[in-house]
Amino acid sequence: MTMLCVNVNEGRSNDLLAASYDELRRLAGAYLRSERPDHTLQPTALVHEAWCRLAGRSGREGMTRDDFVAAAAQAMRRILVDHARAHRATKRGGATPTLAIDAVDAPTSKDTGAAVDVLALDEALERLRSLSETQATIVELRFFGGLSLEEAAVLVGVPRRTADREWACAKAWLHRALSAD
Amino acid sequence: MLNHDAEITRRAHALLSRALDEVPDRRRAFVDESSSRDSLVCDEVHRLLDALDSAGGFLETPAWTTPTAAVPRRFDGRTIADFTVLEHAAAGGMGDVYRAEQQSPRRIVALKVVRGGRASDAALRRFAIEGEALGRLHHPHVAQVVSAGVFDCDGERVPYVAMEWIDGARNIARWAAETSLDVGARVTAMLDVCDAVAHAHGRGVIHRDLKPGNVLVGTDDRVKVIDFGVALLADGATRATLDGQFLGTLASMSPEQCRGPLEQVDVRADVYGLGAMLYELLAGQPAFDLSGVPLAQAIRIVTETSPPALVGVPEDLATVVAKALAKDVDDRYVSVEAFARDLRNFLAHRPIEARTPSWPRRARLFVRRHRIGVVATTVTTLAVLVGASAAAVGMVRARVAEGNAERRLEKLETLTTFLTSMFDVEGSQTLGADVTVADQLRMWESRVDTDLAAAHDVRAQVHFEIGRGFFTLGLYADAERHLLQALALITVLNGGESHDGVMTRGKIAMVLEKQNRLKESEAIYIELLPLVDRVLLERPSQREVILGGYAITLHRLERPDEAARILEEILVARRERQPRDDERVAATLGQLGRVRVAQGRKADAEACYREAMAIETERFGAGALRGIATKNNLAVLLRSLGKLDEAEALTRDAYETRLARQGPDHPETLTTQANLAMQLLSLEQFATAVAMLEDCTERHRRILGPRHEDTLKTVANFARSLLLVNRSDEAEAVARELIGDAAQTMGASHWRVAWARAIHGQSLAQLGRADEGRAELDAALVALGSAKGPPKEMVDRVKAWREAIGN
Repeated sequence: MTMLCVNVNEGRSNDLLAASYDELRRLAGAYLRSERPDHTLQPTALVHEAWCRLAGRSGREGMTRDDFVAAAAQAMRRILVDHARAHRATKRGGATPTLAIDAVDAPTSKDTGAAVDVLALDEALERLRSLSETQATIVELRFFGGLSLEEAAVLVGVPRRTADREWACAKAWLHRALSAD
Repeated sequence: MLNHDAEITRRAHALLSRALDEVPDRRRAFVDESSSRDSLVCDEVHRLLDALDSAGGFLETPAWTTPTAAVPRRFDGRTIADFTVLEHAAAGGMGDVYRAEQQSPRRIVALKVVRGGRASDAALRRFAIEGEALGRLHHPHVAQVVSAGVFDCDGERVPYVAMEWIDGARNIARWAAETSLDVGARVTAMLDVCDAVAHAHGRGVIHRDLKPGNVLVGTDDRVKVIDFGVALLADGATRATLDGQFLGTLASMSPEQCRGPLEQVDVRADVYGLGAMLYELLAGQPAFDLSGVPLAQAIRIVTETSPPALVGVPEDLATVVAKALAKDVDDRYVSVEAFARDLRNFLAHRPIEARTPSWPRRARLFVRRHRIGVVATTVTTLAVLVGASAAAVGMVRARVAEGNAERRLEKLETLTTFLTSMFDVEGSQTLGADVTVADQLRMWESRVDTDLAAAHDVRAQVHFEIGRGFFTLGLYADAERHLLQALALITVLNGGESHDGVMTRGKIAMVLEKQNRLKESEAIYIELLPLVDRVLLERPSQREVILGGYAITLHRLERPDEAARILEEILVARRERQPRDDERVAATLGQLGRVRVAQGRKADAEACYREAMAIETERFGAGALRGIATKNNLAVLLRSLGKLDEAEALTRDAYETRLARQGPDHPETLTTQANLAMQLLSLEQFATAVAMLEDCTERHRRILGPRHEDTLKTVANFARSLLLVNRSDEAEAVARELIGDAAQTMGASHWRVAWARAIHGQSLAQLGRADEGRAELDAALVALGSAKGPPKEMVDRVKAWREAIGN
């Protein structure tokens, strides 16, 4: 008797991921591990990609892109901070570096040439938040989320001029906080 | 004390905030004049203002942007083809340039080695063809190509181009700025460039990457165009390694190049490149400033926006530049000669041929740009209805949100509601081969590219989703077409080695396997293998989907041992993630079961299937579509093991589920139907079985085509069933035709051809044509003896037939 081959349906349903954190971390890891020396990672592209992936999942239909971008900026901040912590722990003789996210370079500020200490920034940002929620959010959106000041202004709901001022104020305050002592 | 510090900080921050409302020069005075009596607060605000002054680029570059650092390959002292590398001279867009010495004739050349080194075969082929043409370009303003080829570098085939060395080479924009040429001199220099490009066009070579960096001026002030056709190498794999460079190139890349495959552009892309170059020479900056702009947005800028008006440039000249830079190729100069002619008109103060676009035309362009949203949503609604992911809808919503156009949104929702209700009425929201959905998809697919022309990211996504929709519907040729279009876009947007690129290529490989184009499928998988480990390391299950697909292709290529090794490895990994990955374990078990059957390890196969079935029943319930394949496969196996009743029950269950969920024309429904018919045949329910196989044969031929492997199997079974009910004349006709079809698809020496011949022989014997039948059966037995892997039952059957005839 002749046998017939039958097609197999590969599992199509994806696991629902709890939050943007996992998704972004995954994306960031994948982007960075591609180890291209000439590759420039674009945070907005990353957020955009994560959004595309998450927006379609069930239970998230009501989520607006603004909600998502704000959450994503926070998530990206967390990822960097966690990474920096893990990195520091490693340096102190902790566990061997994990392959998972160790490929993330420490963020640098091109123009000053000096690396920003993510952990210090993270702490300072929380202190800034107690002084001005708006400023802290703008920094988060701009520095961690990669948004332009214009986009951040729309998202926070302030006029562009106000956003300029808040940004300058935050920058001054954080620069002072990070360069003090 | 602590509270006091906090209070100072708070007040300083508040004062700073107010001070920043002043113009920078007034800020410190404002602080001093402020009502704050507390000198500690004032001092702190001054320190904050100091901090702001010295902040520079602090926080201005997003945290995730990693600085660009190109690492040139080390070739110093090495010999590449006929050349000895002397030193690294420059890092260019496509790769690195070395100063090198040619052996004979002995001379210094510029040796350009393409970076990345993993050019695709297709790209290398094109490059080889183009390389020949390059050597034939002889023009005073074309850098003479000495030779072009491919050399072996640590096992990789790396393309190189050797060309004349230009002393003191600078790019034309820098040269123009440094020598402060006037407008006329700049235009004259551009005319030399135009002549060079026109010369190449006359010999069938399109440059494709004209930008100031590719026009060099040596110490003798002569312009030389370099890198003709080299951009062609930048497809697929190579393009991905050039992402960083791509942005630089994008600023002078024509909209149609941003949009589609490089090889599809014509000479007017070079007209655009020349226009962009002239713009930069005149304005002192590129037409589009794309520094720090995300790629997707950069593409949007290039394809949708106009560059800033040229200030201080004569209006006629600005008009000529604008015509060369037109978004729509049809609005551009038809040739470089036409562009050059108008430049000469300008220099001679003659009237120019260029005209600014008419108002109606501009209005039309505007409408075309703004129609995107409506159609995008419609298309994605359809994509969702056929079961594709809703991700595309998310993208479209995002675009709508960006535009903030409430009326548009309203319109979209109306349309969406309308379409949804329409599909509800048709009752086709279920996932299945519903003709309505497929037809609607077809109706809309033709408009994706025209109506979404500028929105590449959305377009890529929509093509991918439509492709998946067709894949789900079992319409594989349509699926392939859309997946290829998605891949072309993704390659340009993110590179073929991006995550999306890899996943799309994987899907294409699966579509090819489904269409029986196994060699092509295998070739794609071989390309993907090194990539999946890199790109999908973080997503093991996606990596495994691709590897599993590869295993299936190998299995179909009748290389079960290789397939089994891959699947065993996947199974181990997936079992480690149990119970979370239960269903994936089941999927792999199902695939491994098929391979075990092919390996002849039927007991192992049965164990695989049974475990998979247990998992799937637990996960999805008894009547779900998921898990049907396992039931079907197990049934086929059980039948061959003689467990006929259980086999029949499982197959009937599978068939009825598929019929209800996927419709009668879905290829998988057909396969299951064919299986059920065979079970019935085994159970000697001949009449029902034959009728079912007849129906099945008709559908297979119609849907998969007469030469598809599954069609061939069904036809063979149909012919065989006809023998059993003594419809021998029909069996003879069907089998005779089958021999030819099978030979065409499988190759003449395949056992399926021998099997068809055997059926033909037996039908002849049953018709009383014993001699012919005997000859046919003997031939079949010889062929079966030398063919690879015919099922033992089959050989036994043919022997029995042959013995029954006697001599």
